[in-house]
Amino acid sequence: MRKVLPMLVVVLGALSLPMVAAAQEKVFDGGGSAESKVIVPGSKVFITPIEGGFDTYLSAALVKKDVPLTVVTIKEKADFEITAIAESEKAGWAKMAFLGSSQSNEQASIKVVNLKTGVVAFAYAANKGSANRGKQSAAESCAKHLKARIEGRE
Amino acid sequence: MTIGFRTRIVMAVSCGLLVALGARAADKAPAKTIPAGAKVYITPSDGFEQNLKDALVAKEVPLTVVDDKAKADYEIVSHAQTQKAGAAKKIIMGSWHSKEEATIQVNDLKSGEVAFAYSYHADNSAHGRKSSAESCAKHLKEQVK
Repeated sequence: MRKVLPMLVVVLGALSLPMVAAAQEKVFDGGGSAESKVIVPGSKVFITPIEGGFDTYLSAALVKKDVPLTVVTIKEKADFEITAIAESEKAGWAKMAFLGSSQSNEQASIKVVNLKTGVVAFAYAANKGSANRGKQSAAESCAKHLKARIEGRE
Repeated sequence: MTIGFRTRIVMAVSCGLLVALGARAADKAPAKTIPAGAKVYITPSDGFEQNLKDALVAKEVPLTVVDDKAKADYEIVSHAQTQKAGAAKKIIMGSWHSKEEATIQVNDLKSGEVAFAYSYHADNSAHGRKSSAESCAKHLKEQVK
């Protein structure tokens, strides 16, 4: 019993720590602080239309990566706004000849702004020298890091 | 029947784990489904909307395409890009196939939420835009219940 009790305390403590941390974050956000950068799971996000359709790629990436956010098409209904820029550069003949790669070079950057406070809650830039899946890769990279931020892993 | 001390400990830890897992699952947004027979409007997108219409028919997606947005329940917004094989690709890589990129987003016109989104990429597409449209349609069909 002497051995089991400390183990039980440690296990239950470890389990409760993330919950306490999340609860504290939510309480902090609820206070309406201007410096709040918390993105609460289940928040509604509006993705600003981007030239070349990167907004749609981003939307698809949020779905594929199971990011706990709801994408809305009406800005007034949203808690956050995602603005992004993306650029593609197709492989030239030199890249094909010397590197044997026809994959494009992708660059993308996203910014998540809290529409109530105006604070930038998250920002990330992705650079893929030889993206296997073009814009899709860049969008999924952004979505993956956004998810990690929401879950408190970054 | 009496339960041993160890058994109680195991049960307590198991319950704790289940509660923690439940809390994580509750954080995740439930998957949205599109009802079969719903009316969809496909926004014009550089001719890709026609490929999508054909693909919805070819893949037997149970949705009704309408030409009037006011009559629709959902709107499909899409973007597609085709890059024909250049001389370098033909000579060095030995491929005549085009590079295709496409993405679709299905918006619920009543709630304003995005019900489905999917993106497609193929470096060597056998049937060009037809391939990308049919891939989108295939994945959309999985979401229609």
